[in-house]
Amino acid sequence: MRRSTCFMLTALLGSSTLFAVAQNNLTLTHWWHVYGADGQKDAVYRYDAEYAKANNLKIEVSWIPGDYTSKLRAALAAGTAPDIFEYPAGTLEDFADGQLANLDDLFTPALKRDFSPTALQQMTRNGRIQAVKMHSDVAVVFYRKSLLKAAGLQPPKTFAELLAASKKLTQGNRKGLFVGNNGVGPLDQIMPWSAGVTFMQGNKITYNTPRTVKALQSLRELKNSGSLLVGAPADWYEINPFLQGQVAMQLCGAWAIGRAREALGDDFGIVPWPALDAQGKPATWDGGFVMMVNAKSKNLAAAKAYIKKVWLDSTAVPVDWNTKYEFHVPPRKSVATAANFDPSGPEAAAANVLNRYARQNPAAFAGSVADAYYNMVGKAVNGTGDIAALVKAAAAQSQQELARP
Amino acid sequence: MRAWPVKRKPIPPGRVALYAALILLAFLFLFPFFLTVRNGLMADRDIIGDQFILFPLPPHWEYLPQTLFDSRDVNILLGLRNSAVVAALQTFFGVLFASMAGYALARVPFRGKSLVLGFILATMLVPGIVLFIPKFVLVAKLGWVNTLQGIVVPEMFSAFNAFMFRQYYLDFPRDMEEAGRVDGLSWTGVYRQLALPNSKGILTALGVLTFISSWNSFLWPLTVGQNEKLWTVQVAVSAYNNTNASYHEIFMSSVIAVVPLVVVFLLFQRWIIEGVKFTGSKG
Amino acid sequence: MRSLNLPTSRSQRAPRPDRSATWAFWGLVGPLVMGLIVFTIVPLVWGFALSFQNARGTIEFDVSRWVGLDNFRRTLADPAFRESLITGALYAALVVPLTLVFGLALALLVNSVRRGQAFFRTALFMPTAVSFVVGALIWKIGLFNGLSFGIANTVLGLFGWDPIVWTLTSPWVWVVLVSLRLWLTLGFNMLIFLAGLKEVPAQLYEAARIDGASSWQSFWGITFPLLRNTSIFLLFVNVIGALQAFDEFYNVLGSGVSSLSSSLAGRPPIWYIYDTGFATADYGRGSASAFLLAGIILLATLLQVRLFGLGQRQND
Repeated sequence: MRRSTCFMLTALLGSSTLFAVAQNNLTLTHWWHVYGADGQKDAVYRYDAEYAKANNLKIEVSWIPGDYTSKLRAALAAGTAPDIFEYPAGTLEDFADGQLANLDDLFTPALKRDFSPTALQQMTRNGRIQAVKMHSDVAVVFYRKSLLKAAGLQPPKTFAELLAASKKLTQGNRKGLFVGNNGVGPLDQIMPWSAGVTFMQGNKITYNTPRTVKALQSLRELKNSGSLLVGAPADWYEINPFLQGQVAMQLCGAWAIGRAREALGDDFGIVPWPALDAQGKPATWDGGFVMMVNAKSKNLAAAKAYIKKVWLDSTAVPVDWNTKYEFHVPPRKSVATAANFDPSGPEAAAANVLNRYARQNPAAFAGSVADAYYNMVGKAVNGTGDIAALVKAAAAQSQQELARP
Repeated sequence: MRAWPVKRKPIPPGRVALYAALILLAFLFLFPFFLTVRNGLMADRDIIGDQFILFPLPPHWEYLPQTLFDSRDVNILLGLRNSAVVAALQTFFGVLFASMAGYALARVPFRGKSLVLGFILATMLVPGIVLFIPKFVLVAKLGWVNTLQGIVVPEMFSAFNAFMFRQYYLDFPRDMEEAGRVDGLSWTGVYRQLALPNSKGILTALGVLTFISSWNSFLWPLTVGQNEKLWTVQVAVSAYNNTNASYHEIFMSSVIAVVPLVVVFLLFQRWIIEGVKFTGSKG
Repeated sequence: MRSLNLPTSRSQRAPRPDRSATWAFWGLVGPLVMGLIVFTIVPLVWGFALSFQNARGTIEFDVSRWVGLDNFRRTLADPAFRESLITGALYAALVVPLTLVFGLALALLVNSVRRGQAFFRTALFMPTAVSFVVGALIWKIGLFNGLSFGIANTVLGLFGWDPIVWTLTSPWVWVVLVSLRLWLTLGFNMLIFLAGLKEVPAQLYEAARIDGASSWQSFWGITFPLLRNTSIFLLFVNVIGALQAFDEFYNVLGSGVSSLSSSLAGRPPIWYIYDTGFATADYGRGSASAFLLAGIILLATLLQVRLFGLGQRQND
């Protein structure tokens, strides 16, 4: 008992020496969220291990399941964040001033031009570069060529065509289309975009328009058509329902191209999510992940050196990361060139969709401002209430949240 | 039990209905276990197939070693080990501290005793969620994120168990205690040499219940044990959801997470029942 | 503990306090009290302090960020918070009575048979070994997925029904959530009722039988009143448990708010707190919501104490 009391006392006094890891000269900590493709985890550990070995330091990788962004933000607030971490692109607004290290000095004008304009925008906060984009992800509609052909259909070019195709392709246990288990998935943004809606401009919330109402109305119509797969054990970001023949078309990330090819050979194609009507345009997002450095890192220089060496100076790791495990659109021209895609294949098509139709909301459309909107979409699509009233109320709440200090 | 006059009677229909109801209920309660094992041993295309298959023949036994040793970058064996370590430490220290406190509150004469008891009971009223964020913050301040003690220590002080031990020691025979005092034992000596050895029953009972809840806890180990070296088996199972895991892997990993506790259940059944009974009558 | 036949002698004069007793007292109580102070009281005070300041992205206590009651006001004004309370109340209103009624029914059933009693007791108690994480996976993927291969839909198919999208349509989503909780917690409730039943003296039933009472009458006349304390204990445990439910919602419905709003009034309260506090890193608002919920739980508990007059213990 005495020994246990002793343990408690040391433990309570916060002495972590009891369990502390023996340190050699320098250890960088590096966080990743859990990626799902075969070999991806090994790749991550390999990149860091090779760099560590070559530069005589240690990198401790954490491979984090569950709610990654919440954990990272809690760790930043608590001062236990790692030196280097990744984060979903386009959400730099989540961070407070002084949390992210400035990386401007790693960039030459030529290097900046190498990144796509959207990527560069996603890397910049308050005029400073604070992130490095690792890869771009794009949402596209996968379709089974053979099934469309058998039904005498062309790949859909408008929402009306998509709806008709979805209905026609619904047969027995197979549904026409899968966009996510709630009937919404990533369409909460993409659908209004395809109607030409802009969510906010300057300091004004601008989504309270008849176009948003029509977009959500159409989603409700799609949901009620009975041709949409809902309640699948996997969600839209997994291609399984499409591969297993539960649907003929699925909205999914282009990251699934590799698995689709493996399972279906040539019997699939991709198109962008189509325009709502003649007034709209096809739409998708430019997603993906960025790598950042903790401004409060004790090893700031070493962390920045890692970013520069591994993710900027050479194209070896970026090419490997973007092409070898699951497909991502490289956000850099030099990486895309080095990756050397078949111009007639789905990879090139996905890159084309990204470059032509990707939209993005302003950085301030985040947190509670955006939540007011997202909270409403599920109700609008799956409920029976008046969509115009719902949109109006949500927009008022967004505007109010935006006005908060 | 009374001795009834031996007479062959037809089984009354009420009995039959009773047993029928019980058998149906037992089936319903055990069916999810069967389903988990079945899906764990079945190829995905059969799980999702249109034709319902009651049990795969032959079963895919190879899925068990695959999930245990070589699966989706999730090291479930390590998860089992971590869970065992965490649950064992929490059970040992948790029950020890609770019984020490329980004994003192029941027996050791001290003027402010009821105040201390009131304090301990009051902490039971604090809903866990109020503490979730600040507790994480505190653990972070102590530098315990991603450490074993960060997962174990904050969760091992159970006011509830202490209260249970107090209720138990209130009924502890005073004569034995007084004999010990006369023999020159101090109060801690009485606790250690007389009270503790004579409370194996309740120690086991509350220990097993603590072990179960510790093994099954999820949100705290998920939040604090971020590095995969510290994942408990529950975190490991949930991690399959983040990957392109197949259904049989998800179910097989569930089987792996549940089997150790089922074994604990069957081994310690008597004590669990004692513990639950005690909880109910004293709580 | 009744099964231990030790002579009790509480009436004897208690020993007097002295200095060595004081040392011993603190030595024995110390680890637990210290742990509770560090890991309950300190976080409680810290969280309370944070709830009065703008704590977006920070957890340091900082007087210059003081915002008074603003966090509480915003939470109360947020429709999502009110919706979460509705969900919580609805869930508790479904789960608590069902758990108590079925728990008692199972206990009575098991108690009424001799042969095989141990088997049935074990079988019904076994699900307690399963965690909410694993239970949610079995329910979501195995039993209640929305496709035709889900067991529930397979059964419906036998009767010629179309598959139901369980987790997305009201009221079916409640079937999923409530049945999962019942499966996981009924065994525990049953066992406690069983313990209560075993304490009812057999002579009482015997006397009632001689007086010509039917078994129904002796249940309401003898069993039910004597189970009062057991029932009150379970009522408390289940109300608090239901209002604090998180794991089953989170693991069955998956993350993503929009998937919920269609089939439920909203996220359950704990999920709301998790989202506002943890996920959006607004620790001030998260703490304020948590304290509001704690206040509501406390009120509910006090109300029960009022209604059922706790404090009259029969076993003492």
